[in-house]
Amino acid sequence: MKMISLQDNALFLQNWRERMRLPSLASAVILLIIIIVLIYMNAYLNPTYVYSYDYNQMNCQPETRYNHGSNCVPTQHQEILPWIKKFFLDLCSLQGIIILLIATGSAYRMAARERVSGTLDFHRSSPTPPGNQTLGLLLGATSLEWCIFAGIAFIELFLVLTTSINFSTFLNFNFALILCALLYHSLAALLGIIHQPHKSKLTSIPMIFGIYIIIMLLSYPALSTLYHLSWQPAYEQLYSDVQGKLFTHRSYYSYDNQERVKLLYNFLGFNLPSLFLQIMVQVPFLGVVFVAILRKISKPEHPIVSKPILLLTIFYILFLFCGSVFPIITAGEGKGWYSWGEEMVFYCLIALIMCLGIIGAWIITPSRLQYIKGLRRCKKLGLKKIDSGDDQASSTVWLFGFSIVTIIIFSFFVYLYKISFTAYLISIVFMLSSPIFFACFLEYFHLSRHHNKIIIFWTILIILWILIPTLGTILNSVTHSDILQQYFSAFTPWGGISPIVDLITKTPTVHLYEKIRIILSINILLAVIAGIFAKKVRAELQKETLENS
Amino acid sequence: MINIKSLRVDYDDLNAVCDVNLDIGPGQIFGLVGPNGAGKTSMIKAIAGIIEPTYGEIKIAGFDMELESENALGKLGYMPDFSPVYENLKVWEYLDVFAAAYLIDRSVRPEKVEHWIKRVNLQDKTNTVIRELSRGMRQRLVLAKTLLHDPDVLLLDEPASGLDPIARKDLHDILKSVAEEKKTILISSHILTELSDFCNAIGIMEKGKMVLSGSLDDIRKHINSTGQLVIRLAVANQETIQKLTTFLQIIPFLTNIKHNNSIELQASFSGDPNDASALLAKLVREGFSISTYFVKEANVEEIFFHVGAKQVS
Repeated sequence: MKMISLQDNALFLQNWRERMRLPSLASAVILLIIIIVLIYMNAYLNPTYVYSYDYNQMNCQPETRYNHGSNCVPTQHQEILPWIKKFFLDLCSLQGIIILLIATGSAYRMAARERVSGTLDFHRSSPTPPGNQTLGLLLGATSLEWCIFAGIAFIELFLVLTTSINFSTFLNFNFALILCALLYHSLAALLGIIHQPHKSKLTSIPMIFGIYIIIMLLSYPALSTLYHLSWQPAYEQLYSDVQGKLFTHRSYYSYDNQERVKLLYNFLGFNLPSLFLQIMVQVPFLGVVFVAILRKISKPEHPIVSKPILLLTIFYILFLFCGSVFPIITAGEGKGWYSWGEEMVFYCLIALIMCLGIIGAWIITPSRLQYIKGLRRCKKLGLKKIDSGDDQASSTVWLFGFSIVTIIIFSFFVYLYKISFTAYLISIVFMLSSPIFFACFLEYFHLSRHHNKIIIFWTILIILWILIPTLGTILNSVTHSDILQQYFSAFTPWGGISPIVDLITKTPTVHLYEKIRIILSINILLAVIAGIFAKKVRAELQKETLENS
Repeated sequence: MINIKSLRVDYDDLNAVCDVNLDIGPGQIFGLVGPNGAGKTSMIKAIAGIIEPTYGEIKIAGFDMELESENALGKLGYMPDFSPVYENLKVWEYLDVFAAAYLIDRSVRPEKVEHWIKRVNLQDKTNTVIRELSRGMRQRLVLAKTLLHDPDVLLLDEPASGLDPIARKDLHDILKSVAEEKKTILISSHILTELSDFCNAIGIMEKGKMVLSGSLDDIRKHINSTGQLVIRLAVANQETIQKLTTFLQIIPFLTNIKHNNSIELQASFSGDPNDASALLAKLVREGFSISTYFVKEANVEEIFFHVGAKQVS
């Protein structure tokens, strides 16, 4: 991609000019000055105490119990935080609010407007490369917030140069925040570009709130992968550095939480620096989201990611899961709730693989039009079939790739837990059957000619995944038969996870093998039926298209 | 300048453009006509790179749209029917943004912008915010945006739609002057009289297919179109008009002679200019007092109805 300077980047110029108009700039500057003065006054007039804890002297009296973690809390010491440091920390918080929350909303709003108004078509028909358009959109839409961010950073730098706060603290924090912001802005812009107001009734305000809720959820993670997707590590590190004590942040005062936070900085058994982990987790996702925006700008009818990129992304997500879970597994028993049992690990792993398979199939399954286009193009070019990695190809080969990724990742856990070969095989078949069923079922409906195909698809799925299991639960309350209920719950992807985990962990369960037989039979049957239907519709479409072309 | 081979565009089960082949040379003003839903907009959008065709080869000024899209798009100016604009930008800012999009060097951008603002008569509105402009002014602004990178090929999709007669005339005047600069223009419209003024070639689309295309003269010959001879007498007189009708009935290159009133008469004319001239001399010799005499050739509208009627039948 040939890089164009921002002064020559059309989308950047357009957004910059709109956002940097004198009235809005003046209003932002006035508000910012008032807020900074308030922060300064608060820091100067209200002393803040910093708590540190002595873990060698644990106070275990019942009246000192806390809701979270251990019943015993360490002896607490307190000291006053210098006002200048408090001022610095509060400025950093303000920076986060502006660049992570407000700017994310702006990125969504400007991207959605670009698409809805149709101006994006003008850029699409211009010779500016799509990569530059994406970059211009991302930076231009958030230009006002970036300027405010830079202004606050300048004040922070002044404080760093005139006080004992380290320059590296300032640099690390700002770098971490910028990286985090770029990821959130890209995600918001992608949502804005794929948002179709004429199809979905969601207006921009609920969408922006949705983005904020997702961001908030990321701040309470249990896994290092999710933790390092959030802004939390940047602030954690900042507070530790400025206050001079590791992990003395208010929410982590109990011993168990201290240990949990330590695990969040461990990946595959290695203790890694916060910034390194953040880069490792965020940069690949940032790349994928950037490519997705670029694709949506240049080829709006195509899926947001190509089949090979989606497979790589799934593999990377599962790799990050392995790296995050590994220290939790190896932490051993008796260290509180953060030490996951074997069952919990497999529950999460199986659920994650199935979810990724289903979401992946949803993303890459071609529409009827795309598939027909692919067939016609093949015929025109004299090719026998569509390349399996092509956006217009059926999801069959992608499912094969997904199966290989699943087998590789699951084998890692087989190695860790030494599970039996039979349990391994059964688990693999079970984990793959739901994504295969979903992918084939979706492909059948996408490629078929039904007028209300999406309504029919969701109706059948709700019956299979919600109503039939509900009927099973109702009947079970009368018959008290686990086996009967299993027949009903096996239609859902999650209905069979529990018995499969019992099989893997060798947990003694009543009627386990019978349940496994039911789960496998129903899941395989559903996948085979959906596969036959998908194959049939593909063949019909192929015949019809090639005859009519 | 525009070379299209086997272009096909589909939307779900609808075939919008079906295997269209088209060559439009330099300096040609090609009018794309057809009823609503004929596939004109789809074809223009596919040429402009906005929608992905099912298949087909599109070349703009010799550059393949798929393989050398950056070069091809640089030679292209596209203007849709309802042009989206950035409501909060000023007129000059809007043009400057698209000058940047068309990779015009920063040093010459202000000069280009100023030139095109003058050319479309918006010099009084240079610093006006676009939301304050009328629809006609916006169309002129988008036309300036389309032309400011000096494209060799212009794609104009119903450029005058929604404009009042004055704004439409303004737009036509600008387009005519651009046409004089020997640019290749592909213009679509379903208002056929709009195209008669300045198109030298047309293509008629029906149900996604290019039913007929070529220069107006070629098409007239192809469809055996006859001209209309119009004769108007100096003074209205029922007896004279009857006498004239009788006289013309024996002329071999005239058919369908009819008069709607006592002063004007029309007939289908299949002769050449010499025949027309000889006939006029004969009429004068016979003592008919004629105030108006001309042969009207079939215009785009008549050709369209002629071809369209055949297609429908």
